[in-house]
Amino acid sequence: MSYGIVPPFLLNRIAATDKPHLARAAQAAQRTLMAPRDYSPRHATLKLSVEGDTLVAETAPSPDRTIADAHNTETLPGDTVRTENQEPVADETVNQAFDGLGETFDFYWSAYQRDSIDGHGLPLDATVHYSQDYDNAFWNGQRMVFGDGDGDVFTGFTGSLTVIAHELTHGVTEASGGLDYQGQSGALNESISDVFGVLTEQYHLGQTADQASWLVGAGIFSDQVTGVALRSLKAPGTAYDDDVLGKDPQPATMAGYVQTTEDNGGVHINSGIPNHAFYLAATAIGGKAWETAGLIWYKTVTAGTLPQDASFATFADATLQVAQTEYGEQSKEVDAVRTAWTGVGVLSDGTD
Amino acid sequence: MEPTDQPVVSVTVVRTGGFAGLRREWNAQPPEPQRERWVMLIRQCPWDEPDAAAPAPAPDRFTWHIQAQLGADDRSADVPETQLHGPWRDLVAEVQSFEQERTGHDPESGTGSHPDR
Repeated sequence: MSYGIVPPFLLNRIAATDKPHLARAAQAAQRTLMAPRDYSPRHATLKLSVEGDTLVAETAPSPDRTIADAHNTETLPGDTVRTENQEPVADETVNQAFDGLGETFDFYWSAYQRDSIDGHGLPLDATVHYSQDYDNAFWNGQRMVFGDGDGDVFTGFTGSLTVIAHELTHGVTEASGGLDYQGQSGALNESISDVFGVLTEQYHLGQTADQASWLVGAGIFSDQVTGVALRSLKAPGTAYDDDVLGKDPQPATMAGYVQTTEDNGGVHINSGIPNHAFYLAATAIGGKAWETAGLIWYKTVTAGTLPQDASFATFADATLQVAQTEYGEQSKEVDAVRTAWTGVGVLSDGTD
Repeated sequence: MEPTDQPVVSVTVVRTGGFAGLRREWNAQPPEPQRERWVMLIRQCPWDEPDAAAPAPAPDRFTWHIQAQLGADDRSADVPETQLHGPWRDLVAEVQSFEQERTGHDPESGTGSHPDR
């Protein structure tokens, strides 16, 4: 940002003053105003309302989105096909990506007053039609990248808000200090993306915890696959059971923890355990999950105090600390969080 | 049983990770007339290069476990998606094509031989 903390209209008034005791300030203001500035506009939404006789103006940040098309190559970023102030285009994949980025931005701002991935208005860039028949979507540290899917197992990824919010949340985690993408810390990294993926959808649909599906990636499988989604926070291990893909391998508790060298130590498998802990906490507290359980998890992730190699137990203790600070040691929220982590076997009874 | 004067050539490719976290596996056991070409494909891969320069695992990218058997010689490597270039990519594509041609379809995915599947 090139604009200083003192707004230009104030500098103008200081520079124009003829009060002798402000002579030095006036000169300083004049120099500040004459200094060259880069123009770097920020998008914002302006909401005007009338309260009594007063005109109230509220501003809120809004996303700055750019969608590119890789034309089925692996060259990034590809050709820009839609920017923030442009109307929808003919390619529905482009529009879905654009809308999903916007809904995720809206969620993070409305729920946690977080201005984009980095908290400082980072532009949201995405590339669609990456590679050929590419069965994946990922956040590469700079942008969201979407494959088209092979058509047989996956029909594309831009239509799922939980997928888009999952990926952008990897950026939030990274911006908050990061969690090593290996073993338990990697499974936590995955779980945090799943948690805020489903919370974005619940916020968008206005659902309470008991109304929500708690599914990640519902609707991205083709009709040929026997399964409702990729993962279930409510019932890990039940999202699909297909003769080609096999059965959803996620455990819900530590009793089913999978030791493997594949998938960076099973980060997409063992994430079922912290996923289910969040579900248990959110449903025990009730209401809108992003407002209470989600806030506890959000503050835990973004506090900047989690070690990058955090274990499940370290993370669980940190959520308890946040819950105690926010709601008090004797609160039902603390009880719910503690019961959730003991329920999945991460904490033992009586552990804080 | 394989004839003893011809070394067994067998390659297994396992892809894990990706946003979906689905495990996929492809195999090839090429018959004798094709083996010379397969031996070349396998030997041109940098199996023994230290992976000290390998980047930290990136969220939701694929990871590839590639295992090859040349007679009594077993070798394997873990290759992140961002490093799957050149001979690695050629070998993976050949294994996927082999399985597709042998079975008439890809039993794992019902799809073709692109290495990114």
